Amino acid sequence: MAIIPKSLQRGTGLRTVFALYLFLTLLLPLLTLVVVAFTDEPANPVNLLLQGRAGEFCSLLQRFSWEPVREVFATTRYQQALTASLILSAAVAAGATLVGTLVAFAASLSGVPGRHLFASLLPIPLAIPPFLGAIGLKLLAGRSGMLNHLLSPLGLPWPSELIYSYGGVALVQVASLFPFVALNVRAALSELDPSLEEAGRTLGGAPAWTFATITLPLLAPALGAGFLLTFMLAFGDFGTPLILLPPSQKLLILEAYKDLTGGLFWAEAAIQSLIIIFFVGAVLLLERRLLAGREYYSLSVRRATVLPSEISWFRRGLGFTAAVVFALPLLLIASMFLLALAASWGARPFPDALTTANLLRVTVAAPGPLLVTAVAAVLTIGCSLLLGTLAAHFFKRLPGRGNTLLEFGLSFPLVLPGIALGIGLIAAYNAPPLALHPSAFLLILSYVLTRTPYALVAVRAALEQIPGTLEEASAALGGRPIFTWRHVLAPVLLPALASAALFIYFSVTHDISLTLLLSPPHFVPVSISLYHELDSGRNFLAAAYGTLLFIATAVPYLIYSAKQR
Amino acid sequence: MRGKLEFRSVTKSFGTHRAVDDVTLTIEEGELFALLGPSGSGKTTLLRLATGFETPDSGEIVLDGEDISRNPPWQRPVGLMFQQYALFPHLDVQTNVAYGLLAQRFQVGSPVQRLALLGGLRRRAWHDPEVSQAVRRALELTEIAPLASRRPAQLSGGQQQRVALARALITGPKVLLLDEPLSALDAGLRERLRSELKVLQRRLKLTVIYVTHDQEEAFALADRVGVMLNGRLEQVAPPQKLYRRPATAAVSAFLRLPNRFPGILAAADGHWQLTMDAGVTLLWRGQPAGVAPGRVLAVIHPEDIAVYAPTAAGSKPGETYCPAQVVTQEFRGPLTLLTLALPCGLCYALLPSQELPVGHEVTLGLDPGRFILYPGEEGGNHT
Repeated sequence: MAIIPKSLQRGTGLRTVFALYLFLTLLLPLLTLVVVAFTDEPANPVNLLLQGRAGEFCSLLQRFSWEPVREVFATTRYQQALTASLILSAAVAAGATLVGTLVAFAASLSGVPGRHLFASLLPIPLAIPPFLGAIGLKLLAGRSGMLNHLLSPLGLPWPSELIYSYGGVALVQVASLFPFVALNVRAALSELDPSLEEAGRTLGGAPAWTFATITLPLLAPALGAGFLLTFMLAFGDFGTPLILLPPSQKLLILEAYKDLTGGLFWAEAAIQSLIIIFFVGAVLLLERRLLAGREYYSLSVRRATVLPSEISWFRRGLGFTAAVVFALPLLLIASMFLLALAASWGARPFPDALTTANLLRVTVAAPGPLLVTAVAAVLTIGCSLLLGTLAAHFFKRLPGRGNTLLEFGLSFPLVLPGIALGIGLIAAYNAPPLALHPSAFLLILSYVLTRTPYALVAVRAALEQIPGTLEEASAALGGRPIFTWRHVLAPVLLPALASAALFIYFSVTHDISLTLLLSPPHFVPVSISLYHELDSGRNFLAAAYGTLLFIATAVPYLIYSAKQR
Repeated sequence: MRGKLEFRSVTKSFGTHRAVDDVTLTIEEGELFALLGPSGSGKTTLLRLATGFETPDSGEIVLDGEDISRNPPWQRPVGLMFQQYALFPHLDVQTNVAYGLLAQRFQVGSPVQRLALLGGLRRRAWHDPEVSQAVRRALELTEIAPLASRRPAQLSGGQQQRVALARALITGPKVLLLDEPLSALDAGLRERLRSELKVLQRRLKLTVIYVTHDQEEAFALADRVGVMLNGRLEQVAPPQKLYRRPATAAVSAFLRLPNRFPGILAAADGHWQLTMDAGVTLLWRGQPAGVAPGRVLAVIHPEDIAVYAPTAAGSKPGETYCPAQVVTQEFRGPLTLLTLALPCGLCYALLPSQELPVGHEVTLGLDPGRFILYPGEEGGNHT
C-alpha cells in the first residue's frame, strides 16, 4: 500500500519487537515448563545463560529424562483427572452449544414471546463469569447456603451435596458459557440472507425443511466455533472447580494448581500444565482448520434480523426454554444481592435485618481491593488496546513471512488457561536476574498477554469493514497518513476498541487463576478478596464482594449498550 | 498553465502480469479524455498510477512539466472520484466535502494547528468561514446544498455521486480522475448526470480523465477516447473517428462491430478481390489500405449495409449485391437491427424502422469502400 511511509514498509523493526515480547511473555514460560517437566528443576535456562552459568545449564540438560512424564501418566490420580477434564469439557461444550443456540433463536425469531427481553439479557451472563456463578450457587444452594438454612428447620432435607460435584461444575459452566455460543449464532443469524430461506420456500420447502436444509447448514460454522470455544473455556476454567469440587473428584487444572501450591511438586504441575496447553492448542488448531476464513469470534452485540417462523409451538417452546435458561443466573445474582444486604439470616425466606454495612465495608471502609482491581483493569486495557491495534494494523498492511506465526502467538493466549500460563511464568521468573515473581508488574503483564487477543480480534474485524478506498480517498484529497488514521480509521475503530475494552475489563476484574497464582501480598484485587472471604466462611462479605463485582461489570455494560443504540 | 498530464512510456507490472504496458499519452489542458477498455485492461491501474497509489516500474508521469511519478497521493494536485464514491460514512456531507481543504491545512499548518486538526473536523467544516464558504460553493455547484448535514447513508445513489464530485473538486485539482463514476446508478439517472458532468467540466475548464468500460458513455462525453486492451493503449482518437475507423481488429471487436468477415484478399487482373468465407465477393480498383494479399478480416458497420427489396436492386456503382433472408429483427425505436442470413453466415444491418417480416427475402448492397480491412484472421476478440 502506497500510503504507508517508506520507512515502515518493511516492518522489520516492529516485527522484532512483537517477536521479543512474545518470546519473553509466552515462549520463555512455555519453554521453562518443558524444562521443568523433564528435569523437575524450577529453573529458567535463559536465566542461567544470562548469568553465565553455562555449567549449570549443561548439567540441567543432562538431567533431561522421560521419567517424570512417565510417572505422571502412570498415576491413577492424574489419569482420572485428565479423563474427567476431557469428558466434562465436552459435555459442557455440548450443553452450552445446545442452550446457546436455542437462546439465540429465542432472541432472534419474530413471534417468540419475550424475544426483546432475551436479546437484551443475552450478554448478562458474560458479566457473571463461571467463578462468580459458582460462588452464587454455593451461597444459594451449598452446605451453609440459603436454601439449606431455609429448608432444614422445616424438616425438608436440601440435597446440598449435589452441587459439590462434576454436575455442579457443569451446571455453572453451561449457565455462564452459553452466551458465547448464543452471541455467535445470533450474529450469524443476523447475517443470514432471508431471501435464501425465502428461495427455499418458493421451491416448495416447508418451514421445518428449509430450516434443516438451509438455515442450519449456514449456521454450522457458528455452531462449530461455539462448541470449540466453549470447550476450551470450560477446559481452562479454574474458578468453578476450585470452589465446587470436593477433593475426591479431580480435574487436571485443579490438580496442577494443588501440586504447585500444596507441595511444590514442580514437575507434576508443569507436566499437567503442558497437557492442558496441548489440548487447548489442539482444539484451537482444529478450529482454525475447520473454520478457516468462515468465522471469527463476534465480540460486539449486533441487531438480529427478523426471520420468519411459522410454527407456534416451536416459538412458545423457545420462549419457555430461554426463560428457564436466564432464570438460573438471575436467581444466583438476586440471592447474592440479598445476602450482601443481610445483617443476619435465620431460617426464614428473607434476612432478619438489612444493612449496608457489608457493601460499605468492601467499598468505602476497605477500598484497597477495589483500587487494585481498577488500577489493574486500566493498565491492562491501555496496554492491550495499544498492542492489539498496532498488531492488527501491522498484519493487515504489511503482509510478510512470519506474520502467521506472530499472529498465532498473539492470539493464542486468548484460550491459554491461566493456571498453565501462571505456573510457567512463576517457573520462568522466580529467580534472579529476572526475579519478577511475585510482583504487580508480572501480574499485569500476564493480563496484557492474555487480553490483547480481544483487542486484536476486534480491531481486525473492524478493519475488514473499512474499504481500502476510504483511505485512498483521504490520501487523494491530500490527507497525510496520520491525518487519515485519525479521521478515517479511528472513527470506525473506536466502537470496536470500546467493545474490546469492555470485554477486557470484564475478564480482568473476574480473573481468578492468574491472579491467585501471581498477585503479590500487597496487590490483592476484588476477585481474590472474594475468594478469601468465602474460604473463611464469611458469606455476607463474600456476597458483598460478589455484588460489587457484578455491579462493576453490569453498569459499564449497560452504559455501553445504551450508547450503542 | 493548468492541468496538462503526460504519461511517458509508463509501464507497471504485478508479478509477471503487465497491467500497463509502455503507455505514452498526453492529456491536454481542459480536455475531457475517456479511457475506455474492458475490465482487467489496465485502465484503473493507469488511473492509480496518476493518483499515486501505484508507482510506475519505468517511465514518468508529468503534470504541467513537473515529474510527479514518485510523489505520494497526498502531494499531487490530482482529484479522484471512486467508483463506489468512498464517502466517509461517519462524517456528514459538509465535513466530507471539507475534508480535502482540512487535509491541506494539516499539511501546511503549524504543530499547534496540526494537533487541533487531529482533534476533530466537523466544527471546522461548519464554522470556519473560509472552509464553509468553499464547501457551500462546491455544494451549490453540484446542486446538493440542502443535504449538507446528512450522513452518506441517508443519501440516494445520485446524491452520493454529487457529494463525491463536490469533495473531489473542492481542493481545485489540476486534473480530475473519475473511475467509472456512474456505473453504480440506474440508466436514466446515468444519462442525466452524464450531461451535467460535461456542462460542469466545460464551465470549470477542468482536465478530466474518465475511466469507463461503456463505449456509449465514452462517446457521449469525451473530446478524445483512448482504448486500452491488455495493458496497451491501442488507439487514441476523437469518438467519431474511433467509431468509424477502429485502428485494429481488436479495437473493432471491443467496439462490438458485429459484421466480421474473414476471407482471402488477392490481386486479379487490375482489381483487388476479397473472397469472404461467408460466400460473398468484393472488388476494389486499387489496393485497400493497411493490408497485403492473404487472409484478412473485413469489418463493416451495420448502418453501412443497404437493404433492398429483392427486385429493386442494382443501381449504385461499385456496390456488390447479394441475396439474404431476414432471420430476426430487433426494434430499436427509430432504427431496427436486422439479423440476416447470407449464403454461409450471418450479417447485421441497422436501418430506419420498417416492417420486414422474418423469412422475408431481401438483397443487400455492400459498398467495398465502406469496409475496413485488417490483416490476419480475427485479431483478438473483446466482445
